[in-house]
Amino acid sequence: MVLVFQILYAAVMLVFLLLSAFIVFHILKYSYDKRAAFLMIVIFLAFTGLLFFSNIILFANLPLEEMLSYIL
Amino acid sequence: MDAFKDFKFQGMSPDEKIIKVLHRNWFDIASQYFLVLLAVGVFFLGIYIYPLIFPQFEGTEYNVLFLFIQNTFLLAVWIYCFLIWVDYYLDIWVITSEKIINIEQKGLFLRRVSSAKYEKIQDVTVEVKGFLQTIINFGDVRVQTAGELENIAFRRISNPYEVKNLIAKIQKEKEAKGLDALGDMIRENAGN
Repeated sequence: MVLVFQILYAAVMLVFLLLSAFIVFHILKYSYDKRAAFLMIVIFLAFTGLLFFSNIILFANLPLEEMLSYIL
Repeated sequence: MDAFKDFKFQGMSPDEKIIKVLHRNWFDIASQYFLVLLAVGVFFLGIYIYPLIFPQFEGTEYNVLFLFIQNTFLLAVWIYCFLIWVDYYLDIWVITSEKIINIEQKGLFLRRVSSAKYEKIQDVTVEVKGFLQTIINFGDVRVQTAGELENIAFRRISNPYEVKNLIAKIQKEKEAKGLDALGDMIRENAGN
C-alpha cells in the first residue's frame, strides 16, 4: 500500500516536472527579449527547485504506514 | 524603435524595423492572478484555522503531513502562475515598418503566427466593450486583410485607438512612398 502511494507521488511529481520543463522550453525558445527570459528562468527555477526539494524531503518524512493503518 | 533593436522575430527582413510590441492589457493577467491569490488566501487562512479545529494534531508527526500538503499546494500554484504568465507573455502583436505580426500561444502545444503587410490591409476596427474596458482603455483591434489572408485580431490591448491610428499612419506613409516610387519610374521612362 505504501508503494502505491509512492508510485502515485512519483507520477504527480513527474507531471510537475514536465510542466516546469515545458515552461522553461517555451520561455527559452519563444521569448523575444533574451534578458527578460534569463531573469524569468532564474526566478522560476530557483523557487521551483526549492519547492520540489522541500516537497521530496517532506514526503520522505511522512509517517505513511501509520497514516495508512489509521485509514485502513 | 531603438528600444526594440535587440528583439528578433522570425520572418523579419534585414531592413525591417520594429515600431511597437504589444501584449494584452495588465488587467487581463491581473484578473487571472486574482483568482489564484484568492485560492492562496483561503489556503493560508486554513493554516491558521486548522490548529483550532484539530488541536489534537499539533506537535505530532501529522504536522509533517500538513506541511507536505501546504508545500504541494504552493508548488501547484507556483507552476500554474507561471503557466498564466507564459500564456500572457508569449501572446504578442508586433507592428513593424513592413507588416503586422500576430503571435498567439494557445496552451502549451499550439502556437500560431500570422502576418499581414500594410498593402494587404483593407480595414481596421476598434472594439472597446463594457465599463472596465472603457475606464482602463483596453479593447480589441481587428485588422481585415484582402483575399484569403487570415484577419488579424489584437485582443485586449491597451490604447487600441492609438494602435489603430498608428497602423493607419504607417499604411498612408507606405502608400505615399509607393506613389512616389511609381512617379519616379514614370518620369525615368518618359525621359528615356
